[in-house]
Amino acid sequence: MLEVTGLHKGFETADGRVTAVDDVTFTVAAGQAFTLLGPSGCGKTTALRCIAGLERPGAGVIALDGAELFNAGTGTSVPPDRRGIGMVFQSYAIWPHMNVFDNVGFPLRIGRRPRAEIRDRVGWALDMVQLGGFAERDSTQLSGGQQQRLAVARALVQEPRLLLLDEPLSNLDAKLREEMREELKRLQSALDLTMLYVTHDQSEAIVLSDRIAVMNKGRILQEGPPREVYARPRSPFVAGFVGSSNLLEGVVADRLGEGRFRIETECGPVSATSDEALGRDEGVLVSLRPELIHLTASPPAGGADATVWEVTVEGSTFFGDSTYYDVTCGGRSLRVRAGPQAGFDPGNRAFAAIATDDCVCVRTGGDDDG
Amino acid sequence: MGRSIVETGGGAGLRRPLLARARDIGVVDAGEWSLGIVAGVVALFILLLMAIVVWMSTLPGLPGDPGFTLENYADVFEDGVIFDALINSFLIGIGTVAVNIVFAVPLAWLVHRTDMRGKSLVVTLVAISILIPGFLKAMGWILMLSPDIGLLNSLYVEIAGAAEAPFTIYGIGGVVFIQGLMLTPAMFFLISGSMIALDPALEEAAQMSGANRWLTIARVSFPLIRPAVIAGLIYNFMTAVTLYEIAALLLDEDTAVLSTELFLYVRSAGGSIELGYAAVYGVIMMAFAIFALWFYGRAIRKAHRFAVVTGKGYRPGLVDLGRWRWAAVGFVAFYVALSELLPLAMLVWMSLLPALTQFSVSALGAISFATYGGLWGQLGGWEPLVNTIVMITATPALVVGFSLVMSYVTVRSRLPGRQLIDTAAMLPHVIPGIAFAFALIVFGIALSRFTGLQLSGTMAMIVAALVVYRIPYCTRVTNAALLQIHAEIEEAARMCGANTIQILLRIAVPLIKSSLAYAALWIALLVLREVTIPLMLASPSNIVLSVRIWTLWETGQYGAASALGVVMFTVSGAVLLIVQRVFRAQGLFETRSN
Repeated sequence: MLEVTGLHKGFETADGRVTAVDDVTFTVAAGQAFTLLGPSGCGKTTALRCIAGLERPGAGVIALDGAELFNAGTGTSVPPDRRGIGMVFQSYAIWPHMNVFDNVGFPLRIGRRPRAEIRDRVGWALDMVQLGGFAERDSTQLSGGQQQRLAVARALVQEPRLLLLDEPLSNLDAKLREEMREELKRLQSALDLTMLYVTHDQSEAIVLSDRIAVMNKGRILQEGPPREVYARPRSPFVAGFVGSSNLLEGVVADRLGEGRFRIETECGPVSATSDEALGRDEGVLVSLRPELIHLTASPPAGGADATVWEVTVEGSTFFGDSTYYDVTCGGRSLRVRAGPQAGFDPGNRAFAAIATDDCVCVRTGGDDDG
Repeated sequence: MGRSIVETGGGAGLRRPLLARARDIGVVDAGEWSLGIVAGVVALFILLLMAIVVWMSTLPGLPGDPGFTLENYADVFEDGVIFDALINSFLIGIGTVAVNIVFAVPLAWLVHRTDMRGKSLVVTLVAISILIPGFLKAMGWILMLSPDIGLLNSLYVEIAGAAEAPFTIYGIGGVVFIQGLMLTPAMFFLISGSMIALDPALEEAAQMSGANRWLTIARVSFPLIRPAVIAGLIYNFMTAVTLYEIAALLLDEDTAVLSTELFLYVRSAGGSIELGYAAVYGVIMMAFAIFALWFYGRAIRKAHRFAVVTGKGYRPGLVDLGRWRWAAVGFVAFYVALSELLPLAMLVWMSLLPALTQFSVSALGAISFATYGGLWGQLGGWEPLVNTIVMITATPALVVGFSLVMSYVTVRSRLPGRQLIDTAAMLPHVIPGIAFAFALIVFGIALSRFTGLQLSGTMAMIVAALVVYRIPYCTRVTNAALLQIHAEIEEAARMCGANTIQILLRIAVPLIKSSLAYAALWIALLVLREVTIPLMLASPSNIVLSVRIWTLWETGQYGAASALGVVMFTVSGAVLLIVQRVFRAQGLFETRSN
């Protein structure tokens, strides 16, 4: 189990001081896959490197399986080569002067393990990533996907207590990326790995992880299971970064019940959900997922659990597996995702139905509160 | 993260003591500290040698004697020779770089910007010119143009029946000519980079604007390479002003230059007062050098700013020489003849003449290999040979080892003060070799007086001076090589449990071994031809090949000196070819990229 508490890391640059990681706290349970998700420059890689020991945090505590790896207060800092953490780098960092076997066997050689054990363990690790027949291959002859597998095998061979992956799939083409994503998921559950993953790709994060933490500007904005972060974004940034979202400005008009509110927006009143105690007349943003807005030609049967707006279709874009419609509602345009079948033409009138559960209030200050 | 980012480790770090901060930053382990200590000791030694020269200049007696005085300065300036020396050295510097420009700029332009044929041969010939030591070039030209023994003069006297020899190589003009030839390769390679990087689109744009070819060269091409040329000029000027060997061979006692004066004060009678005067000359040379380094740094920065490379894989537009092709070949041949062929041919011929035979046309019939037969005796037996081998193996090994450690600390570590290490490593670049040799003499005397340790006159002194002198050359190579290794390549090893020393030996060194091998080879060859430093530090027990050639020449044994010179050049040429071939067979020179 990895526990990170109050992690802080600053850099001195030519333009002054930059805070890369700002009071980051999270826990990765044993056997869990955890992802730090965020745009480039959000501090996720720096946080990962602090955990690896490659950067020294300014403040905070990092503990693995109960033992402190780093504590700014007591001055404890276990060097990276003594942390027992495996790491897969963005560039793979395959050593070009060693063949596949020597690359994977390096951690065991450094650990002075017996020759027979090295042979067995390297064989096991290579089998694990399906590079069984490649042991004697020159590492520079491998394809991008194979180098990726090699990097994973090298990180796994010493059975680390924690596996760190720094954007490992970003250098692969789209198809290979999907394949490796599945493979990593399979490995993680087969070996019951405790895994911390860093990516800017929300689909990778959602597919791979038990829990994700969305980061921006050095802070964790929201943390939870992927489904919860998707369904209940607590800030405009999270709503826009995990999936996509129509964000409507609105004012709380009424409280409808437990966690339910009526919001006056530019498009009209809408029934929306919030986990927070919103006050009357408070300004909020309402997040509407394009894929959760249902367009129909005739008025659907509304009700207490849904809002229906009359809209005008302005245009459509066909994506193959879906169609995106741009519709206007009270002068405000919305994006709606529908099935691939032809439906509406520009100028058509239509009805947009949004279930109250899918309509989430987000406090505008959410990005700053963390 | 860019390399400009300096870590502070969170809290208000800057005001805390250096060591506390060092403990605070990143992943400094014991191995990294020990590398830092080695690098620091080498850097301190370099600074110590420079400080020793300044210190000596203020001593009334021998190093170790108490006291502080400015008398040495007063005496040197009262004596007045220093003013002659400054003027003469300055003239030599100006003249040398003028000769450099005349040869190096056209050569570089022909090789990099025209369709001349045989370019790789031209580059090889320029590189071979480096292998022929300057003093051998000077000796070759003396054999040709000396009023007493010069071949050309005796030919003229015989044929024209003149009473007096018309030519002479002696004097400041001769020094300028030989040093100009000698430093042309340095200039050639210094400006090659900017010639290659010159974007042909800029030239094409000028032509599209209506400029003809010559106007384009004058208005666009040359202004773009000018910063590199200026940097090369400053660098060569500094070298030319402080060189000893050519001036010592070609100038009489009345024509003083800085280096010969320094040498005479140290190596003449050997009293205490002369060391102080020599130190004053050393301080003046070093002051000049540091002043010039500042200009050099500025020029280099400008050169980098102008190096406008536009994307990969473009071929610079090559000038079609047309019927000027033969003129180009003639120009290259002219340089090669002056710098390599003629002096070498003279040395070969001299070595084939029977001992003490006057150089003349009639002596042509008397050629024999007798000199070579007696060469072992002339060399002085095993000792100089062993000394030379020690010098050309220990020096590259130490230089490469220290440079690797200093570069690793500079480029890779997060130790405090690592930039100071790099600066110290650069300093010998501009400090004249003769000043380092002098500093080591003083160091040796001080060491024996303070500790009783007797290092003066040993091979250790020569190797130490040569190591310091060559470190800047090698750290440029190791810096560049280490920077090419992606940081994650080493971090991956750290995550696999390797410590700093293991990473250095098992990851970094194997990845840059070709650069290291190449640097070691060139250092060995450059050290072999070095004469000033081993001569200055010479004693009966540390004679090396170059010093033996020098003393043979000084005592008038031209045939033996020539023969040993020919052997030296042949051996270094053969070593270069063989080692290069062996390395290539072992794949040492292939470049591997990740």
